[in-house]
Amino acid sequence: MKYEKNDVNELYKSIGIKANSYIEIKENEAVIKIQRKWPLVEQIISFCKTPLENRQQGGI
Amino acid sequence: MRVLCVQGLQAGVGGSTISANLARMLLELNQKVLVFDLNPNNLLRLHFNMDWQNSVGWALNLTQKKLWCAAFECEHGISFLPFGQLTYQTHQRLIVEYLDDNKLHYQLNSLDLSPETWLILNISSDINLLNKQALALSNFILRVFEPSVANLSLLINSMQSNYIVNDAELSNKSFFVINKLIPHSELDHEMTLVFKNLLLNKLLPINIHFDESIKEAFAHKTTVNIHAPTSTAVREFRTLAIWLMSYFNRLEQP
Repeated sequence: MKYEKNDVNELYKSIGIKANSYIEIKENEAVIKIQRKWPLVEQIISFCKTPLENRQQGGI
Repeated sequence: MRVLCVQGLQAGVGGSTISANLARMLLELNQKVLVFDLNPNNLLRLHFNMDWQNSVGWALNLTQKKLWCAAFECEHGISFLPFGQLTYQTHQRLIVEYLDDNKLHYQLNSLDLSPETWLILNISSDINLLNKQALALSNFILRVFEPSVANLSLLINSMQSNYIVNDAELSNKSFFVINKLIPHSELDHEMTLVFKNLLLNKLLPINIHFDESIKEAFAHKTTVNIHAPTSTAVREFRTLAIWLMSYFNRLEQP
């Protein structure tokens, strides 16, 4: 089944995921790819807490 | 008084440049601005056409037992207080003999500035007595960095052990801005995405791109809106100034 540009978000909505989650998921995938591409970046990030943990602890 | 503290993540990332250009842009937007240089490198004054050989500044005045605020300078409507050119020995004497825990608090109170005035505190990247006072007294901390792997390393280190992170109040008012983003650099763009993912809403939605006109403006002893008023850098500094104005308006709403 072929989806048009906005249909992905409609599909997410129909299963209860907020509309912009698709964009967020795509962005996270891109960041992981970038981190793997540059060895030093990957090494530094591996010692870092996730953004969610930072947020829960009151920010940076 | 709107107290904005500008601090580079490391020396050379453009803290003084952002302080000077932001001050000039706020002035262009009809704001009252005073820039207070707390950075011993004493570079801020050079953005405001002060002679290089002129060593006058508030810190030098203190060590010479002169009135510190007599160092006030004014250029094209910008009021600023240069640090002063200190030797290593004089700087050590300043720290030991003239600075105490409340020095900056006393200095800012004695300026008796109106509530709508923007006070921009330009501080160095290290943590010292003066910087601690500036951070504590500010309403907003703007931390400047480059989208480099070296700055990522510094940021992660600071997140794990930094003075700001361990203080919830400082952490809440602390925000980051990317400076010197090179438009055609693949690594810069990818690092920007990494930083965005890491800092979330702590990263300002405005990036200052690397722009030759910023360097040229400094070489002409002025800011970019005077040297190259139609440049991209001017548009970016204007956006940054407007973003900060709307942030403070929201903050000051009852």
